[in-house]
Amino acid sequence: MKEMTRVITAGVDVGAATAKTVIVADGRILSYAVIPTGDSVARAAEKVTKAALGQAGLSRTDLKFVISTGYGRNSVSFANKAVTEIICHARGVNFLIPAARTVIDIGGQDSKVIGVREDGTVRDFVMNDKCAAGTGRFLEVMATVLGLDIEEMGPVSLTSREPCSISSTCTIFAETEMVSLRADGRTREDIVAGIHRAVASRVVIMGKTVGYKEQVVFTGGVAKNMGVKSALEAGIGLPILIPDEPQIVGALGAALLAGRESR
Amino acid sequence: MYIELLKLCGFTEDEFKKERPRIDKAFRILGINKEDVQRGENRLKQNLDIELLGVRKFLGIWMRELVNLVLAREEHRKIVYSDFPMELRPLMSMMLSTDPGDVYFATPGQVLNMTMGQIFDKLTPFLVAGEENGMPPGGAHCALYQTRLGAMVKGVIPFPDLSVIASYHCDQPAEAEQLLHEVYGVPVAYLDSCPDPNWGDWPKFNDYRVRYCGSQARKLFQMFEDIIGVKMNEEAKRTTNKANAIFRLKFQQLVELMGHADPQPISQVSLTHAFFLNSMPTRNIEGKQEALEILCGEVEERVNQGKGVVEKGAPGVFCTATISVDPTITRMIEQSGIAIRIQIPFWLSPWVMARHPYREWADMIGVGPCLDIPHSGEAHVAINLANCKAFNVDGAINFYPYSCREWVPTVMITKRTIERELGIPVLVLEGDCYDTRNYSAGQLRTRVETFAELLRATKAAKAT
Repeated sequence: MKEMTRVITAGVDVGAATAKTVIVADGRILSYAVIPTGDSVARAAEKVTKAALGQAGLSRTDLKFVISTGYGRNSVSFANKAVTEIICHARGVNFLIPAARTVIDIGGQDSKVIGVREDGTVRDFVMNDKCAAGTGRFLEVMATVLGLDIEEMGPVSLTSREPCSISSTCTIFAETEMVSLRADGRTREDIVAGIHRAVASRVVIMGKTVGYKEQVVFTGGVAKNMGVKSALEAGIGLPILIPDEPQIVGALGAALLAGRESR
Repeated sequence: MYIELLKLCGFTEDEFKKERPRIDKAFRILGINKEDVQRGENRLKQNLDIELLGVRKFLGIWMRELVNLVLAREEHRKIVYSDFPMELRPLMSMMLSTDPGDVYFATPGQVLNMTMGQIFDKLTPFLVAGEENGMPPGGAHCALYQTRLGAMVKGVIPFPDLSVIASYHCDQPAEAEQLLHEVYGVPVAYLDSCPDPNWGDWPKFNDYRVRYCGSQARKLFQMFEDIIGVKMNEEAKRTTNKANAIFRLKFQQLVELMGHADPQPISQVSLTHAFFLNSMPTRNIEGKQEALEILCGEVEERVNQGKGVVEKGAPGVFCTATISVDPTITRMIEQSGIAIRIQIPFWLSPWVMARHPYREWADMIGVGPCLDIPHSGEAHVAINLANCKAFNVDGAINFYPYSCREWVPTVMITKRTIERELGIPVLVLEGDCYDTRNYSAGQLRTRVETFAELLRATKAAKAT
């Protein structure tokens, strides 16, 4: 009987690389799931939500309100409302780390720096979705050239003694530059550390118009890369926190906003 | 195939019958097919307040200009082109007022943008042709000049007998016209100027610059006489100045009416066609005055009825994104629940006008802020700030156009200044004034929707 009085909501974040769903009940995370987006946004949203609901032992009819977010937000047919991922990230981070005032979000195909108010609303933001430099896509391309798995890049870079300087701001030119560095005999560790610096540099510069205020929180799939985190910290001169599951912050924010909407 | 489209552009049955042979010929040269016409109709219905007669009449003027442009070589002895800076347009209008029936004066880039771009969404073939013929991609060339070059090279519009240009606005017009001269043998008249004030000079009146601009204009008139065989006279100057002043004044009244109305009565897209006709050389001066009178009346009626295209009480912004080739960005902003109080960046508030009452054409260039973009960076920032104050907006959307050397240097300064002075948020929105391949409304939607939410939250917080 007690279960029936709970307000259960979902946030569905369909990004360029992955789809995430978080199920929340009365301000508490019940479950979440993450899957690759694949070739169909609508299908990915259905599938990931089904997975998250399954983990919590729930079905779609248990959901009182659903908010979709991410670039595919308008293609989620079962969502009651679509909200931008910038607003959702701010809310999600505020829930996990209330002291957060700046969010750096680097996803598969875009990056954002968001100024967050005490109440979890957006103060200011800046976004890059035009150029691959400063995004997860940049790292993916470089990992392929180096024959590395993307997950390996972070640990590898932390062992670098003399990070390379990647001067090109364009992914394609940087790829050429990296081939030259390899031909010059630079170590894999130094090249990867240089790549992380290049990504961080694009984001750090972009975010200066918003300003970096403590506490700075790093979200998105790229936040799992400790090398990028380290380069960002060096760039902004502030420590950075990463939530346990940085990929689901947008979906979490959406689920929390859905809770507010359902009242 | 295009009767419905022309009706949407304000053509009456009689006008259509009379003009049909010319329209048929021009559309054939332009390669406008059934699919293009359908797309054009849809775009007009989706993006403009097409039910308003004033809007339709302005569209009709542009459509006629397109036909005139395409057929100019077979209908006129001589052809003269100009585009940017817009200050050259009054000069072209003055030449037109000398009434040389056999000379065609036009701003081809603007005509193509407002018709082939805004209505038909079919500029890409011209852009590609421009890229293939001297203005390659990746060179940060202005798409306006790629478009007009491409249209000429493809034989869609004729090469002119004289092109009038000035490089103080940015380097692109002069660079493009050098190409036109060297490769295609078109005579080019360059208008020199010296609008490079130091930061802190503006809004002081610089008499020297005005006199120098005046002397350059006289030189230009002499070139017109020598190359085209048309002589400037005082009556033509007076007539043009008067006509432009009347239009500008009325247009400013319309902008003010729009800016202070809640809800926003019509889409800002519907003002674009009137704005870009301001001072543009056209023989149909009475037609554009009439269209403006009608539009003003219709907007006033909507204001009185409380009708609008954005919800009443929506947060209002000052927006500089006047993208003449693509109405979808502006519509997307409005559909996100943001009222655009004022979009025309070139509207000069009474605060500015009190300092610069334009008496003569040379004032426009010499003083700094002119009837189009102020080429003093300081003036640019100050005017944007003044517009925000004049319309008491909740925020601003400052457009950052790729490849526009004139515009981009002050974008971030403007953002900082408005945020600091007025304490309101400013969104910087990247795009391209003339090339839709570089962006889309969908791509910019996340930013705009977030900004709308931010504005709503701020407005609600202020209210409590």
